[in-house]
Amino acid sequence: MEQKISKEELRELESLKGKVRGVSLKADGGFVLKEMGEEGVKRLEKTMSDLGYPIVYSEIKEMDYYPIFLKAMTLIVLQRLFNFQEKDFMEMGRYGSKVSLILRLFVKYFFSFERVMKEIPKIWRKYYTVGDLKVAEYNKEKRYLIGKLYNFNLHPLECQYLKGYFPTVLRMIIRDEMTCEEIKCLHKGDDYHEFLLKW
Amino acid sequence: MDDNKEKAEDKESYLTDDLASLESYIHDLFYFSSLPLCFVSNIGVLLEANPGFEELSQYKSFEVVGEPVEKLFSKKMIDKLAKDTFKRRAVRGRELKLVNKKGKLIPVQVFTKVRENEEGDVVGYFLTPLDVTKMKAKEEKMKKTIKELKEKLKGCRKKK
Repeated sequence: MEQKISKEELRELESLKGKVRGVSLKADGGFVLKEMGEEGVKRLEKTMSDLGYPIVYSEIKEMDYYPIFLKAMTLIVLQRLFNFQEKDFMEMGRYGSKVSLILRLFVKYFFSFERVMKEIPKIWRKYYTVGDLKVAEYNKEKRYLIGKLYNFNLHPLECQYLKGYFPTVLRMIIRDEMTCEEIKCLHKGDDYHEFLLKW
Repeated sequence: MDDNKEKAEDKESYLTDDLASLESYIHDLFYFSSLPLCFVSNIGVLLEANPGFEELSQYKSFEVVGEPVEKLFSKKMIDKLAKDTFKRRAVRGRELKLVNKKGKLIPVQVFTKVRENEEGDVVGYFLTPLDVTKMKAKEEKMKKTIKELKEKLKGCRKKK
C-alpha cells in the first residue's frame, strides 16, 4: 500500500510538541463525513492506522487533549488521500468553528466585540497547549483586524485551515461577510503568523 | 513537592472526568430533544441548533450556525421578537413564519428565554419554534366548517 507519509516526515511530525483538544480532531472527522461520506472516513482512519495511529474520529472525546501532531497528520493525509486543496482546508476550518463545543464556552463574551478581542488568547489556549494568539490591531470603523500567532509551528496546511476558521468566528461577533489573508507565515520564513481579516 | 504535583494531577484528572461527564450530559440533553431549539446571540447570529431544529428548518446546523437569524425569519418579526425577549426576559407562544431551506414558509409558535453570563450581561436568547402547520390546517378547516354552518343556518332562517 502506498505510504501517505514517509517515515522521515512522520518522525518530524511526531517530534512536534504540544496538544490539541479533541474537539478539533473530531470536527475534522465530521467534515470528512460530510464531504466524503462514511467511506471517506474509513479511508482516513485506515491510513492513520497504517501510520501507527488508529483513530476513530467519532469516538474522540471533545474536551480531552491529544498529541498535536495528529492534527497535522490528519491534514496531510487528507491532502494526499483526497487531493484536498486550500479551499477545502478553509472550508474545513469554517466547519470546525461551527461545530466547536469550546467556542460555545465563550459565547458568554459575545455580547461585546471588545470583550471577545480581550479573550482571544484564552480561546486559543482552550484549543492548543502551544502557540500564542494575540489581536495586534483592530479598527471597527475601518473594518479590519490583525491577529498574530506566535510559537506555532504545526504545518502550512493548518494556516489554510485557520484562514477558514478565524473569519467564521469573527463573523459570529460582527455579522458581516469576512475575508482573511495570511500576510506573514512562520513556514515562509517570518517570525510568526499574521492574519488580516476584513469585513 | 512531588506529593503536591501528584495531588494537582489527581485534581486535574477528576476535573477532566467531571467535565467529560457534563459534556456528555449536556450533549445528550440538547441532542435528544425532538423539540427544535436554537440559540441566537444578542446581535442576531445563530450560534447553536439541535437536531429538532435541523429537522424543522431542513438545514444542517453547520449551514445555519454563524448566520444571521433573518435567514430563517422575517427581519421585522425577528427584530421585534428579540426586542421583546430582551425587555421581558422571555416571550411565550408568539406566532411567526419560519422559512426552511426549500423556501417554504412554516407557521411556528415561538418561545424564547434570555441567556445571561455570570456578570449579568445578556448574551442572547434561546428560541424554540414549534411547527403549528397541522394546528393551523385544523383551525382553517374549523373556520370553514363554522362559516358553512352559519350560512346553512342563515338559509334555514330565511326559509322559515
